[in-house]
Amino acid sequence: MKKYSILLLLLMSLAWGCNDKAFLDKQPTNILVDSQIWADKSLVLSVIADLYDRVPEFQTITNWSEFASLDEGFASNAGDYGRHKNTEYGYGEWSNWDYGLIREVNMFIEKCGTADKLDPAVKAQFLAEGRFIRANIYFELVKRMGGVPLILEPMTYDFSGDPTYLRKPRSKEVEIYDFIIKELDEIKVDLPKSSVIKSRATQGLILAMKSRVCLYAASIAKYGVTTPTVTLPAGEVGIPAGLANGYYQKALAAAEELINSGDYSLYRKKENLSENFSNLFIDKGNNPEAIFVRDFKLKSGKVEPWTLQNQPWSQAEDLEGGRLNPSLNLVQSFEKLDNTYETYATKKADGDYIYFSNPKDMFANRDARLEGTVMLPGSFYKGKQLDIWAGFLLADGTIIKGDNFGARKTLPGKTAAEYVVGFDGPIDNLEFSAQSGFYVRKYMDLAVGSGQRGVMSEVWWIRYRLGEIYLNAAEAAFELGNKAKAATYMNTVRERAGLIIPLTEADITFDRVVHERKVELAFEGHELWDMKRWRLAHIIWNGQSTELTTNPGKADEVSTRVFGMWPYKYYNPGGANDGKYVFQKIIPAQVTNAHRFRLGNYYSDINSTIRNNNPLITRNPNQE
Amino acid sequence: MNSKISGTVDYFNRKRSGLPADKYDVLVPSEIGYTLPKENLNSDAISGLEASINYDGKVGQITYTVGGNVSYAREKFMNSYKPRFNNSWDNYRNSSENRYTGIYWGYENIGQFQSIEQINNYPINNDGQGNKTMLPGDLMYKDVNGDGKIDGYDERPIGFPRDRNPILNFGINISMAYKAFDLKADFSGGSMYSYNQNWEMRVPYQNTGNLLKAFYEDRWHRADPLDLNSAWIPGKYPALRFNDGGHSNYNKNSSYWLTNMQYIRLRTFEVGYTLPKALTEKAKLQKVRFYVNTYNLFSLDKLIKLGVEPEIMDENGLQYPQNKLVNLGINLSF
Repeated sequence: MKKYSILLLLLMSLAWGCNDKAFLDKQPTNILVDSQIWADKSLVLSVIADLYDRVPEFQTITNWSEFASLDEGFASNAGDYGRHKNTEYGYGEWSNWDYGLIREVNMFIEKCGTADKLDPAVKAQFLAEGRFIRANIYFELVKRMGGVPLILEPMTYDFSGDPTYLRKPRSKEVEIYDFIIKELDEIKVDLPKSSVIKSRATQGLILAMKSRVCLYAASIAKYGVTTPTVTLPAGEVGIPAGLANGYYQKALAAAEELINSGDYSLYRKKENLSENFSNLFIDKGNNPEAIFVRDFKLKSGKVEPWTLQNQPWSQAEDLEGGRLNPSLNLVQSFEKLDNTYETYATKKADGDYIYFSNPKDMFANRDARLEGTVMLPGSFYKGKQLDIWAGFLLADGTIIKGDNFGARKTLPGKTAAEYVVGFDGPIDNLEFSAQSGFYVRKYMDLAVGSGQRGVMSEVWWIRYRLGEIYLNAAEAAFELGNKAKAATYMNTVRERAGLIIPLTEADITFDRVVHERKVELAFEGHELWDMKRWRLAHIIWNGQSTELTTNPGKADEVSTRVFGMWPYKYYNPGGANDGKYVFQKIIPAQVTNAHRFRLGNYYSDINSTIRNNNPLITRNPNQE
Repeated sequence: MNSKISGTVDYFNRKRSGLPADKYDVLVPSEIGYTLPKENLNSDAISGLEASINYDGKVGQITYTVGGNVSYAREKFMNSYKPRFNNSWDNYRNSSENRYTGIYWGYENIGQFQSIEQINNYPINNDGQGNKTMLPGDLMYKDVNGDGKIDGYDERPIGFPRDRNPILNFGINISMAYKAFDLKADFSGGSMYSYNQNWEMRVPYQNTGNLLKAFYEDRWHRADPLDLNSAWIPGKYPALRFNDGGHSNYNKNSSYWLTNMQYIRLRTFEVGYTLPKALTEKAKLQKVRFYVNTYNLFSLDKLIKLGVEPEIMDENGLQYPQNKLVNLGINLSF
């Protein structure tokens, strides 16, 4: 009997144990559940930080090689030479259909709306930020794909076997732009008015983004008429030309409101204007120009490799660098200080070379942004002079060069071997050497260790800055016929770059507008979208292997291949020019094909899987 | 039978339904932003038999026990969600509906070329290149569909699965005692599985490495390797080519490289001798027993010729084999 009662007791205790809810309902220890997150604003912040971070981007400092996809730069990296060998851009290039991210943002907005444990002001700001991120994603989508289905709530399939009720057609392109503008207008009041906050949405950012969004919509409306085939009958692609002026006015108004608010100002901290310009991108302490950034932090795991990947080889802190080489196409676009364009002359009228004692003299009296954007032969970085020279040019025209960084050979008439090429190259086909003759400077960190794999850099990526807003205002004003105003805004930006002779009303042309954005905003991820909205992309990247233009101020000059310019040391013992530098324009050996941007590239391919899953989705034009 | 025979028989058939799979015909718009979870759609089954039997006997002064057991277990895929095939060949070749799993597909080897003349007059395109890469000794494949060339349409089921335990396993155990001697032996074996030679076990000088001894010693070759006109000497394996895994001898799974396996091995074996009690008691011991036991002493199988052992699965033969052990020992009881 005793045996049985013990057994009974044991059974009872087990049954009692199983009834205990606390025993079975365990809180997970490895994830946070909704009820925990929405009760604590710092946890909500971490959720939205992740969403901020995942907004798609094309060219940025964490994917240097995309800057070599167009004509701003050459990719000095063995795995990326293909960028200069493609015959045409694929229709799938730049496409994005990340509705998974949109779903997450929609869920964030939905849950934020029902959260009842947050302070109302905090909640309103989070809600506004969620809507800002969503608008931002739709902006990225409309830039790439045209009109897309506008999904504003998380959708769920009910497993009924018939998912057709989930099908939503593409909105018109103009509807997406209008949606973005409406959202920005609505959320503005809930956001802080602060120029100190850089990595979250602010009222200043709303104005900045609005000026850009309206400008894009306006220029697609205006310049879309030049490419009538780049439209779809239901308006998923293309914006009616009649809407252009309205958008230009909105763009100008938003830009002016921001400029006149005085919350931001152009960066002017250094006396040397080139140094000032390059510092604008790396100075994170009280930077008055940056409006919205993607930030990084050392020793936090979130660092960026731009400096590591692009540092000059001669002073690389690790076994890599030198990847992005700015093209001569870009370098020759920087004006002279008298506001004129001039390509670089390497020879005199009599056919003889022009000799320079310092290679940097070649680039003297130019727009200060040139050296702020590009490291030139003879430039300094981290206090040390670069070593860019391709070899010796002998008096008889022979060239003696090496096939590795700082290779040594014996020159004729000498007995000892000496360096015959710089420690930065340029050497054709040698990755990390300055194969175009230049290295990039924009966003290059000056901190020691920024070129080490184990350290890297915390320089931020500026998504919006006041300089662009001035140019947005200038462009909108120009398109609205107010050239005087356009000149004023443009001159503000130019004056900061040392171009102190103001442009007059008569100087302001479409070419000027295009050119100013090209030199001010190089390597900032604008070029592709600008060329698309102006409908210039298929003209300047037309697939023809033409020589480098001699008219860099003209907006529609063909620029399908990236060119370079190499300095050589002149070797002529006893001669007057012995040891001086001469230049030769070249095309890097790896550049074998011309970029071809077809009409079907204006709006990227919506792939067949997407179209099969939802037959209401129409295909983008000119991709048959 | 005086309880001398005992045994069991078990039959089992385990069916599983509701195995997770995707419904390919439900296309959800990509815009919902997530992919659907799998649903409970497929089914499979494992069926088999297990049996064992024991016999205790005595002949004169010998007492013995003999036992045996056998198990058979085979997996079958039952149904998938709305199977679809492009054509009847696709159905035949790629369907798994209601079929045993792991069926080994390949080409049927029907011999080796004996002479250059035979190759020149051979009507079937054996190597896909008009037989220009063929030499005497090279493998001939069966043109199953009779279209005059050897290609993927000539593949047929040629063997049992190679990548799992044998379908049929069996064991025999014997123990005997005669006066002071005792003996125990365990045999285990398997059947209905395949061993496929590949990589190092198939291609001479694979990855510019070495080659199997058997490939070298028994191969087709010329009487004088430096004289292209000398006669061909027949052998078992094709003529050596250097690391040429793309050659038609080697780039196809065929019955030539597949061994239909059966094996039986002496897993453990032990003989012992116990000293007479009269002797041990003098030394104040209760029992003294000398013994020899072995582990994996030998196996009877078809892979001895290749120098690998039957219980490995790796096609390249580079798997570590089972140990063979021989122990000598004394049991003392105080």
